[in-house]
Amino acid sequence: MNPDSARGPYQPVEAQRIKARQLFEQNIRAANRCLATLPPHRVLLEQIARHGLPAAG
Amino acid sequence: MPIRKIVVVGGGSAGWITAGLIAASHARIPDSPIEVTLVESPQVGTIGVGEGTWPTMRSTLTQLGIPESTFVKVCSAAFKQGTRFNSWVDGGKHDVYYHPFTAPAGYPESGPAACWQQGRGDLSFTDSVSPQGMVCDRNLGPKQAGTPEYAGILNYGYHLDAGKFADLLTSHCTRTLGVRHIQDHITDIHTAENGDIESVQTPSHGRIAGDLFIDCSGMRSMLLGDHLGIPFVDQSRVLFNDTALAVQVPYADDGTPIASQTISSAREAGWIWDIGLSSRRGVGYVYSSRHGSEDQAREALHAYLEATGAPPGAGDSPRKISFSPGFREKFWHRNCVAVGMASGFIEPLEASALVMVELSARMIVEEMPANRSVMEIVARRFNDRFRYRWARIIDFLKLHYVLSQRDDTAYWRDNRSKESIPDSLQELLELWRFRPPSQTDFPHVDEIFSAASYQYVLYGMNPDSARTSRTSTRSFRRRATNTSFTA
Repeated sequence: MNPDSARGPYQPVEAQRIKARQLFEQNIRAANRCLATLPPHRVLLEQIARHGLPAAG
Repeated sequence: MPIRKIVVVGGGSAGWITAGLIAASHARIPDSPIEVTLVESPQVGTIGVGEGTWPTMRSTLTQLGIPESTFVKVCSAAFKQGTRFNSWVDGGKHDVYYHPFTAPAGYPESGPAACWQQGRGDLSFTDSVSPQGMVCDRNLGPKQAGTPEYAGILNYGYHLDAGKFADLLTSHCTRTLGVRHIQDHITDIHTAENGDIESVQTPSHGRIAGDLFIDCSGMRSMLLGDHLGIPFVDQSRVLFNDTALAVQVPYADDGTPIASQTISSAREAGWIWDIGLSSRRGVGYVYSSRHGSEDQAREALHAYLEATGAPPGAGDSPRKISFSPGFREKFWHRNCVAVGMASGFIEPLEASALVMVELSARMIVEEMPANRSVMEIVARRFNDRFRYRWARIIDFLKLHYVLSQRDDTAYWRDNRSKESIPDSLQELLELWRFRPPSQTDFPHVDEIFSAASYQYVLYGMNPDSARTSRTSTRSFRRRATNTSFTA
């Protein structure tokens, strides 16, 4: 149960490292977008109480 | 004999969700012969816990035909994006980790554990693979006001007021879905010649006959347990918590941030839940009565409320709930199937109660036996599926305790004793010393907890990542801001 156990023993290490790096950077971008665009939870609930949500589809 | 009359015994979330999903699925079939009746005693109150849901509730509400805006307003609901665990690893000041609902980046095609290693030393596991922990830290919602109903930027479930939810379901199921609602006390249960339940007796509505009975009578398990005698399988050897003290707490003012995650804070003999609704918080201490007294629990709850800004007196009159952790040996026997607490109940860590109701109701809908002669086959399949699910839930909950390094009380030490850990979990833990949890560890197509959930907890409770989770969030922001990408 430590970081070293997180890597399986027979993975193609270099390919996995490159893919993992891409995913890590993808997560950074996603986090920045979320932190910049998502409203405070209380504000969101107040807006839903006043105006509802757009219908799906 | 075709199955036509379905009688649900017991209201509350379990009864109404089940009745509603059956009625909704058959309402779409022209001339469907299925009739759904729900019998609810006006003398028996609902427990009113189960205030946290999984994201599955979104599809359940969609199937029921309830608009999300209506649900959020009527049930004082808020959005839940996962669980934050405080003080579970070592009880230290910076002991925090998240189990968010959004799957890790690249999951399941790519291993999120490898992704974490790329940010290792800098970030916690969750922050390396998902934005949701940081979003929760800032009390942000999972969607925007312009996001359509039941869609999200991030995955989410809900926190809800269970009493208001039952009222909404009652109104919707009776007025829109055609469920017949009988408010009467059940005084007797009549047995048919073949041993099935033939009818239930009520003082004002006489005998209510059915082809299939759904027991949603709560912990008493009136039909499956009391009447049909299906034994209870006690799990207190594995999961020690058997008592809860619950309170409702007003917000200090209209500007107080509303948490968008369940907060679970470990204590000496259990843990405290803190659930943010739009109108109030629901807070409770669930603990092991073998490891702590009620007075100690009250004191711990009071201290927590004081530390988290609750108004004076908020915790003075907690509601006490006692329960035996475990489940029934079978869930479907003869022409009776139990759903909700009538089938089993364990502590609310990871909020598995309502999702088990949803999954049970869906399987009943999908596999509704056409007639009595195939009911035994359906029952066997149902029992196999839910025995497996209970075992997986118990393993997953126990994982939180087994990984803890807390040594401050007998409660935490006892939780790590080998005899309290299911063999299935011991095997997995041995495997995970050498490789991450993988989908092959959980081979069913509809596993209740995915390998990603195991990874969130397993690596979230790694002492190193837990100790750095707070500072790492700040350094992540710096790093994210200062990094230029060429996507």
